[in-house]
This record gives sequence, structure tokens and C-alpha cells, in this order.
Amino acid sequence: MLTKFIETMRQRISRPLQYYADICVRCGACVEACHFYVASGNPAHIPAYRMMLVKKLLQQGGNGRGILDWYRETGRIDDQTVTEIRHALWECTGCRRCAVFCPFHLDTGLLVNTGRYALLQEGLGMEMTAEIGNAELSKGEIVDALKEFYVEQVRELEGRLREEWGVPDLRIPVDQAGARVLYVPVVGEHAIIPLAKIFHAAKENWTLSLFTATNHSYFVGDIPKAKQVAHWIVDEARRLGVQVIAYAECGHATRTLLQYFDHWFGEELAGIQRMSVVQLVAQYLAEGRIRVRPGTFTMPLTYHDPCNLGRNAGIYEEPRALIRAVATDFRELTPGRELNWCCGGGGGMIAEPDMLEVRIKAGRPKVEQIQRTGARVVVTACENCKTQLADLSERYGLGWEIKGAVDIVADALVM
Amino acid sequence: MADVSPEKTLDARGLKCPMPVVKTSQEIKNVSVGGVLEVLATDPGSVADIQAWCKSTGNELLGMEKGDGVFKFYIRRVK
Repeated sequence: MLTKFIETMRQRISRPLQYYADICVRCGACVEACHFYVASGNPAHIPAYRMMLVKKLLQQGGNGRGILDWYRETGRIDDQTVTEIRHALWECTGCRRCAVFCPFHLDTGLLVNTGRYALLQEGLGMEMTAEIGNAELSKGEIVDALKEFYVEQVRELEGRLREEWGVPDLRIPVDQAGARVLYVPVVGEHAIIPLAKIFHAAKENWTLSLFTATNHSYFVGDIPKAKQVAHWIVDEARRLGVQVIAYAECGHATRTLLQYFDHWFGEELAGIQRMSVVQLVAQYLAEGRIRVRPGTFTMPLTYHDPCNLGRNAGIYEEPRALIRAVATDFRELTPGRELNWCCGGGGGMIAEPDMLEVRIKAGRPKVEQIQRTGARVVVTACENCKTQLADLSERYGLGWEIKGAVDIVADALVM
Repeated sequence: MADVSPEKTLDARGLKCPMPVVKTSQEIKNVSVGGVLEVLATDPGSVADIQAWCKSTGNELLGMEKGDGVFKFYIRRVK
């Protein structure tokens, strides 16, 4: 029981993770910071307890890895331990709110990411997320075969939008060599339509990627696969000779783009800027490349900072600049920015049908803070957050309208 | 695909990421081994994703059809 988990953890435990495990003194500052614990009262959701649980298991039979050797409190392995470890490592969105409250800023997200991969080797959970990650990997292998059909579909979308918007010269380039910007969407035309409009208005030389930004292998800590999936996009960017890779409103993918790509790909990225599409659109607005109608949104509106854009990548100002340009009644959440509550739907949980009830429960602190603002429109910049907020609105009967930060700009755009 | 008789049909039109693949993966389990699942999709990306999913899971993509802006996939459950 848990043999493969322990073996894999010992192989994959990194120096930072060993430090985190050693440094945590269980002071308890993280306890009330975790939305899962606040909603459930389950000790397995306390970040420090999550860490302690793994430490005890690694101590089984001595870990032989030096830095943890002082820790002698071994844990027993029984059904309850298995249940606890699953709660501890799967029921976490990797939002890292606990790390902000921790006096040492210890990163439970790293523990969870590593631990999830070890649990998968044991055959315990999140198989759907891993399966989607494998499909994303396969996509790179068959992209040439998919290309013709994909381009044909995009041409159809382009034709429809030209007619709908009365813009006969609208273009949605795909796989266009010499473009300045490579826009990498998420699945679905909703991720292409607003950007087609904004890029047209900004007179941008852009191209749509053959890939999507999402990278589910990252959610399950399978870093070699996550890196390969990301590498398809780096290859595409280099082949097309673009200067900018802009990722759609997708939290975890944006985090990989801004925080992992340098480490993963180094010199391969020379001369290629990377940014969230929210940052790119904010640039257009600041430079006067696009114009919007102020006061397009007059109803109370709030912004939910996606953990992976805000706390994990420092993107706070750009989405607010977009909102202030088009909305008259913007109400900030309290606590906000780096202390903002996670929506409860991140970390791959959206893809796991069995986790629906857990995430609806974990979203309660988010629901309460949005309710306090009186907002009717909730703007955010992450696909998972959008799905989760829509689910929360439906389940708690709140009637929110959920919009992307780029959606509200597209709605208010002067063509 | 007139010669194919699907056991089930999944309407994946308009679903947000990553739901087209999630729903396809769930629904194929409700089809008998050797049986065929029909998937309806509209979004450009979801079509490619479902094709890639077939490759990675080993299920067989028998073919595709297009009509009235809707794409139909026929997937045979292999195991």
C-alpha cells in the first residue's frame, strides 16, 4: 500500500521541496487561508498537515536523503492514510494562498504537484486529467494531419464573423509565417472570436496557433509531458518566426508560459516575448491602438484575480485597466489581489467529474466575497475560473454574468 | 458514414475547455466494446482534440462528417 507513491516521491523530491518540508514548524498560519479547509473542516486540507502527512510516509524505513533524516515521526499506512493522502493531494487547487500567509512562504503547491504524480503511479486518482494531458501530447504528433481540417473550420468561422460584424476584410490567419504575434487559444470559438475582433481593430499582424494553450500534464505533476506539450508551441513560434507568444485566458498555461518556459527552453526562446493576451490587449489600449466605448458596462461589476495570473504571475494591473476603460461601477473584492480567495475550481479539478461537489463546497468563500460586493457581472481571465464561477452561480442561485477580461473589451470595441 | 449505426450520441456543441474530451471519455464507457459513439461538435479546437484523444486512448476514429456547421465524429470503442 502506497509503495509506489513513496518510491516515486523519494525519486522526485526536489531540494526546494525538502527545504519546505524541513522548515514548516506547523505554526498554523496557513490553516484558515485554505478555502478547502474553511469549507470542509477536514484536517487533511490544512496545508501544514498535507506536508506532515507526506513527511511521515517518506520516513517509512528511513528515507536516506539527508535533509529529512532528523524527522522520526513515521506514519502508519492503512486505509485511513490512503483516504487522507488523496484528500490532501487531490483536493487542492494549487492556488498558493497558503504560501502568502505562511511566514516562510512555503509552497504547498510544489508538494501537491509532485505528490499527484506519485499518487498516479499508485493508480490513485485524477485519471481524467492525466488522460487529457496524454491527448494534448498526441496532438503534437498528428498536427500535420489535423491542420487542413482545422484551417477549413477557421475559414468558416471567419466567413461567419465577416457577415455578422459587417467587416469584409476580417482575417483569422492560421499557421502564418512572418506574423508578429502567435495567439494560442483554448478550445472553443469563444476563445477566438473576441481576439479576432481586437486584433483586427489593432491592425495586428497575428496568427492563430494550431495548438491550444492548455497543459493538463502540468496539473498532475508530469513535468516531462508538460514540457513536451509546451515545446510544440515553442517549435511553432520559431518556425513561424513570431516575436510574441500570447496565451489565451487560461490560468495554468499562462503560469507555465511566464514561469517555466525560461527554465524549460532557455535559448530556444531568444527574441520571443511571452505574455498573457490580457497584457497584450492592455498594451493596445495604452498605446491607443484600439478604442473602446467607456461606460459600456454600467451594472455593478467585479474582478476575480485568477490565482495563476495574479498570485502566481503578478498580473494585477492589466485586467483592471481593461475594466476601468469600459465599466462605470467596478467593485474590488475584499480581500483582494494576492490575498484573493481562490474560486475552488483550479488545479485540474474542473476536468474531474467526481470532484464537482468538492469544488462547489470549496467555492463558498469565493461566493461570499463576491456577494458582499453586490456585483452582477464577474470578470476573470482564466477558463477554469470561468467554468467554476458559472457553476457556483448556478448552484448557489446567484444569477451572475461571467465574462472574460478580453470579452468586455471586445464588447465595447470601436471597430 | 451511412453504414455506421451509433449506439450513443454525444452533443458536445458549445462546451468549454476541456469538456468535449471529458464528455467523450465518459460517454464512450457507456458504449459496448466494438460499438460506436457519435460526437457532435462545432468548435474548431474540439474537433482536433477529439482526434488526438482517439490516438492517445487507442479508440478508433472511423470517420467524420460535416453539415450545417456541425461536425460529426464516429468513434469505435476498442477496449
